Order: sequence, then structure tokens, then C-alpha cells
Amino acid sequence: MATVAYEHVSKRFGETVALVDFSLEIADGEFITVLGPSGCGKSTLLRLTAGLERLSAGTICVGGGRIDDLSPSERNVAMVFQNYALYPHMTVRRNIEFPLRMRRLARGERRRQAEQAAALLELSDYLERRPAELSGGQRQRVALARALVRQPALFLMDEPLSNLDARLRAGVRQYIRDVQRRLHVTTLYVTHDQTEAMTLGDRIVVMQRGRIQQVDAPVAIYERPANTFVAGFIGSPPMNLLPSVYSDGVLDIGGQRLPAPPGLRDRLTRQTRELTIGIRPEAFVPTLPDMTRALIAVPHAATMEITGAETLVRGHVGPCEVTMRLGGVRREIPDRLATSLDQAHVFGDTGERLTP
Amino acid sequence: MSRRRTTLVLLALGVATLDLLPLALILKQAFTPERESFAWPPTWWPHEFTLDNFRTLGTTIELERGFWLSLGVAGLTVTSALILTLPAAWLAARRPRADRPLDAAMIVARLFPTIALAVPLAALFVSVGLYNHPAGLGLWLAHTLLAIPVAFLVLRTGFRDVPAELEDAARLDGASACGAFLWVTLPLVRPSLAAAGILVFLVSWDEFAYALLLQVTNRSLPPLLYYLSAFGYPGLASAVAAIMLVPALAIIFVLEPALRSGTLSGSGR
Amino acid sequence: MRRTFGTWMWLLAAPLGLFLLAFLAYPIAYAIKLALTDPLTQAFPSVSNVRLIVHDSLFWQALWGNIILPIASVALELAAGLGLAVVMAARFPGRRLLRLVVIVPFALPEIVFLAIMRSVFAPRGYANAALAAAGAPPVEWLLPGRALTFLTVVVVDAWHVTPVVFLMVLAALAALPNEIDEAAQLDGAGMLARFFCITLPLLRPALFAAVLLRGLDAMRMFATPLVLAGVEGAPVLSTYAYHQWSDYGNDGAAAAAASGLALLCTLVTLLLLRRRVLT
Repeated sequence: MATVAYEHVSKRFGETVALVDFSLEIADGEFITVLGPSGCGKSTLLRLTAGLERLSAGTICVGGGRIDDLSPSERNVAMVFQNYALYPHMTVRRNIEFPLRMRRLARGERRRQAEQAAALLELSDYLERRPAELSGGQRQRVALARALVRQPALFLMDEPLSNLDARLRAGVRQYIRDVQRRLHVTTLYVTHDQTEAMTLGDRIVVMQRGRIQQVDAPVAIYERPANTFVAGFIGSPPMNLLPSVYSDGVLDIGGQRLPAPPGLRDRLTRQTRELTIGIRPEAFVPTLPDMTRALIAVPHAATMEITGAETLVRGHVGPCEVTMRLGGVRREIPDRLATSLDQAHVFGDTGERLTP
Repeated sequence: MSRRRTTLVLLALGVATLDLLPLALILKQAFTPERESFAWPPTWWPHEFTLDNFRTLGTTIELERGFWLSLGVAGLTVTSALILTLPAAWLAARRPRADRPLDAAMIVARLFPTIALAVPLAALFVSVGLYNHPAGLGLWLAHTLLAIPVAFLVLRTGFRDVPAELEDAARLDGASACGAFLWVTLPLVRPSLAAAGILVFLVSWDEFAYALLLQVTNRSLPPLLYYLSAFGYPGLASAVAAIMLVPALAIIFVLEPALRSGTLSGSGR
Repeated sequence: MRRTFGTWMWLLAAPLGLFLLAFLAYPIAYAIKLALTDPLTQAFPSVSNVRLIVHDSLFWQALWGNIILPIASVALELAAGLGLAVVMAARFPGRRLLRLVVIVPFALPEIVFLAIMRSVFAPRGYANAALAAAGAPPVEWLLPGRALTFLTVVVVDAWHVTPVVFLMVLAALAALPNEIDEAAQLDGAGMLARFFCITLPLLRPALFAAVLLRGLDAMRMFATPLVLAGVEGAPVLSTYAYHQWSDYGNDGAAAAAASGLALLCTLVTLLLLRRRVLT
């Protein structure tokens, strides 16, 4: 059973705190994406799991047993590095065989298993080549083969697509997912690209400045972000975050005073609060049935960007800039766009989510 | 982890002792009177601290002359080596065609055994009156030969580190080719010039073989040190050694970062 | 315009060429002529100088020494330099200070280092004092014609020059990406396995360069054997040539011996040029 459990894991580098009170349980065979901007602690998490750094506090258990006091070579954890870290002086075959050599496997058995892994990743034709003779995509597959050949309990990936051409990324993304599903290996995948996170993970761990912001399935994170950071990080173009003031059942957003969504009043403990209203770009439409309760935005036609499948346009709500998205090719934009507050996300003055 | 650390620290201490011992002993012997230096067993710390050795240094004509000879030849060598090598180094850095033959010539010059050149050079110098020259002019020429490969390597690296695009940009800004070199390239190569100058100084200052063969009575410090040591004047020899050390050690510590980056690792002995 | 400036530089570089011609090429040619000129009859070409040295047993000892000493010295320097560099890669208190200290033996001028080594290995020197303090009998470290003398010379030379190898290996080690070592750790390789399977093979080009460079320098060794043991104590070709020149005044014989050494060095240098190691 390759379950993983992090309990109150912390890591400090001198004065800098890289990871704070990180706790998470991962099920066997689960694909977890760790998403966040640079400096959020995701790479630190990976290195701690691999044993390349030592914990400042907390424990990590794999399959029920503690691993944080083991050296990297003892942990049965495999990692694909951002730059692949292939052994440049060895052929592809010897690269893949290396972990098996370290396990003292007999030569015949080594060859067989290495060739199996190579076949799985379509590398059989390249076995006698050196890494310098391979393309980026091929090198990455070698790194994958080397990691998978010894059937590790846990599979770590450090931004594996960041060094690939943009064209290749979508294809390789699918590839990695297929391989992982087929082998049912518990995987921890680190990235700063939210598209990868959204399409690959069973669950996403969103991190910022060493702390977990939200752990949930991709759709749940998209539809119900836990705070303004997650709301602004997931989604492209990002969610519009508008400052507003609540007072006595009325929300003042950029000068427009509208009745607050039902149920909001019950969640607020004081009479006036400063809140943030989050509205996704696609929530703006040309017209609503009840325009008296709609939030109005004024688009700037000059900023129109037609991508084919949709049209993006910037505008303003009062003094705040918003980005809006309309489906299909639009040759002209109406002079008003509206959105209903019923679908809006409301965040409190500390950024945490208030609407259900 | 802690036991590994302790072994490392112990190893480090052992290596440090081994490396500092020669230096420590020289300094100790320099301040020890000759009498005590002959005692058995030899002392590890001077029982009688004295400046006599240095005083004798100051009053012995041959040693005083030797000091000025060493200094003079070293200074002349720095000048001649840098002047001769600068254009060639620029050419080697900017013109690949020039680089190969120059590089090969430098390798030969650097790795050719000194004795094979010293014997014919001595004969040559005799015929032109430069043998055993009182001001060490013959030695200066020999040292220039030794210094050229060192200066070339350092200066060429320095020029290579200044992108040719900078010269082009200066030209576009209105400078002549010569002006671009003088006002843009040369100031940027100054650190390399300094490093080369320092290295050449040390090469000449420490040089032994040519000094032994080409100067018979007007000796520089290294052969004098040899004879003092061989004829049983350990205290005096160590005093001379201590004097010789001053520029060497001071300069090495200034150069340590450059040594670490490997730019100078090709310019050994 | 650029071409004119380039031409100017060629002109300015010409003195260097002339200098090398006069003080490098010419002496080499003159040395060969000296070697092949009979000292008594001035006949040229003549093999009388060669015959002289070939009949001198000291010459053969010197030739033998010129092969043994470089090999032993380079082997020792390599092991010590490599060992030091690998140890220095780990983190421990005082590491930066140690890096400076390690350079000290090389920072000392050669003659200074050799002079103090004479005192250390003299019959009444510090080495024997340390032995006496430990209750052991004194050793004749630098007596002529003994194997121990060669060993002492090798050790002193290695002591002086190891910092250079250390620095070269250190630079090469620093150039190795960290990730490869980390990947090897995750693949299950312990310290020894990592060193022999990963680090050492990747260091091979740098080590080869070090061996070639140091080997050449060791072959040209002159001051070290001379100052420590004298010509008879640890004969090598360079000191033998000096001995012929200085003690017997045999210019021709000296040139012959020196040219032999030069030939040896040239062959190895050609190997270097072939590998383009220095550029």
C-alpha cells in the first residue's frame, strides 16, 4: 500500500521559512498536483519527500512506515527532475538499468526489466544512444523510464513539462497521465502551471508562501475557491476581484448599490464589512432577466481580443478594471454587460470564502 | 551525521597542519640564532628569539645586492612580458586564425624544459656580454621568456571575457577601431592585466633554474637561498626565505578567488 | 576600418614573434647543434657527446629517475588532490579556511619550500626529531643512491604541488550538476557507488588534463631533486645535464642530455596538443 501521510511538516532554511505545518493524506494510486507560484514551498515539499533535505519538524510516512529518518537511497521513492538529471556518460539502457544495478539485480533480470520499461515508454529504438543525442521529449521519457523501472512506492515529478516546447506539452501531459493510470503509482506532481494542475490531478494542493491554501478536486477548486489567492490563481483569465462594502443588506460595489445575496447576512458578524466580490470573466452576459439587481460593467471595445472560440474584452465597474469573456466571435460588443450577484463569490476581509 | 563531521574536522586539521608546517618552520628558523638551529634535537619554538639573522641580511652586501637584483629583474619582466603579450593576446581572442599557432607556441614555450634552453642561452649570452650581467639583464630576458606564456593565457582569457559586440557598439557610437580598443576594451581588461602582472612578478621573483645558470656572481635571491641552505646557514637562509615570502603570500591571498574559479589553474610551475 | 586596426595589432604582435624566435627557437636549434658537435674537434655532426653520456652510468640512473619520479609524483598528487577535493565537497566547520590553507604549500616559492624541506629531512632535522620523540631510530632520508631518497623527493614534490591538482579537480567537481548526484542517491546508490559510477567517470576529462599537465611538469623537475639530494642523490635528466655543464664544463654533453629530455617532453606535449586540452 503506497499511501502517503504528511503530519505537521515544516522546513526552515536559517531565517527563511519554506514550509509551514503541512499536513496531507494521499491515497494509494492517487495523482496529486501541487500548484503555486515560485517560492510557495512546492519544490521544498518534493525534496523533503525525496530525502534531499531534512525536516525541521513533523513526519512523513509512506505505506504506514516513517521515511523521514531514511536516506534518499533507502526510501524507494523515484523522482523525475526538472532537468531530467540523466547520467550523461551512460547510454539510455545503462541509465535505466542503474537503479536495478544498485539493487544488485542479476544482469539478465536487469536487462529484461529495463527493456520492459523502455518499451512502455517507446524508447526501444534508442537504448544504445547517449542523452546528448536525444531530443528533450525523449530525454524526459528516459527519466520517466529510469524512475519507473524499479516500481517505486511513490513517484515525484518536479515541473517535468517546463523544459519542453509548448507544442509538445499537451501531448506529454496526456502521456504521463496514461502511464500513471496504467501503473497505478501514487504520484506527487509539482507545477506552477494551472492548466497542468487542472487537467492532471485527482486533487490539487494549492500553496502560497509555505502554507496550504486549499486541497480539493480540480473542479471544486475552480467552482469554490477557498480564498482570494486561490480564486485569483486558478482560471485564465483570472477571476475578477472587486473590493466592496457591505452595510445593512446592501453591497456597494464600485459605486453600484445592490441587494446582497440571500444568506450572506447570516454569515457576517458585524454591521459593516469590507468584502471582496469575485466574478469570473465568463459570468458577464449582454442581458439578464432582472436588470435591476444586476451588476453593470462598461466594456472598452478597443481592448477586444478575438481568440476564435471566445472574445475577451476589458472594461470597468466603477473605478475597478474587469476582464470579461463572451463566447464565439463577436464583431461588436454591447455598451453594457451585466452579471448577477447570485453566482458571485464573496470573500471576507481576511480573504476567506463566505458564500457556500 | 555528527561522527562523520568529527572525522572530517580531524582530517581537516591534519591536512592543515601538514600544509602550514613548512611555513611555520621557516618563520621559526628565521627568528632563531644559528647556534640553536644546529642543536639536537631541533627546537620547535625558538628558545632564544632573535633578529640577528635579519640584521646580517642587511649588512651582507651580496644579499642586499641580490634583493635589488631580484626586485629589478621582476619589475622589468612584468613590463616586457605585458607589452609583448598584449597585442598577441587580443589577436588570439578575436581572430581564431591567429589563435591556433599562438596557442601552440605558448604551449611549447611553457612546457619546454628549462635546462634545455638554459645551456644554449648561457652560451649565447656569453657571446653578447649578457652572461652574469651585474644588473641581471640576461636574466631579465630569460624570465621574459618564462613569463610570456603565463601572461598570454591570462590576458587572452581577459579579452575573451569582453564580448566583441562591445567594440562594435562603440564603433557604431562613433569611435574609431583604435578608440574602441583604448576606451572600451582596455579598461575592461584591467583586472586581467593586474592579475597577469602579479603572476609574472611572482614567476620572476621565485625563479631558480635560470638564475642559477645565468648569474654566477651577481646572484638573485633564490640561488643565494640555495647556497645558504646548502652551506649550513639555516637561520640566515630562513631569513632570506621570509623576505622572499612577503610578496608571494600577500599576493596569493589576493588572487585566491581567481585561483578558485580555475582561470589560473593552467599556469602552474 | 576594422581590418586596418587588425593589421596594426599584427604589427604590434610582431615583436613577440621576434622575441620567441630569438630566445626560444634559436636556442633550441643551438642546443641541438651543441649536442651534435664534438667538443674537441668541433666536427659537426658528431655523436661523441651522445657516446659520452651513454657510457656514463649516472646518465642511465638519471633516465630511470626521470621516468620513475614523474609517475610516482603524479600518482601521489592525483590521489591526494582528488581525495582533498572530494572531502572538501562536504560541509564542515572551517571549510573555507581550509581551502585557503591547502593552497599555502603551493603559494610558497619553490626554493623556499625546498630549503625548509632540507632542514626537515636533514640527518639532524625535524623529521628525525619527531621520530626520536616517538622512540624510533633516525632515518637517512636523503642519502645518495637509495630508494628512500627517491621516495622523499617524490613526497616533497607532491606536498608542494598537490594544491594545483586539488584546485583543478575542485573546479571540475563544481561544474558537475548537483541533480545528477541527487538522482543517483534516489536510485539507491550509496556514497562509494556514487563516487565510482557517477563522479569519477564524469571527472575523467579533467583528471586526464591534470595528469598530462602535472606529468609534464614533473618530467621537467629540476630544483627539487637538486636542492634536496644533489645530482647523485636523486638523478634526473635535468640535474644530470646541469652537472655536466657546471661540474665538468661539457657544454656538448649537457646539451645532449637536455635535448634528450626536451625530446621526451615534446612527444608528450604533442599528445596534449592533439587533445586540445589547454584551450
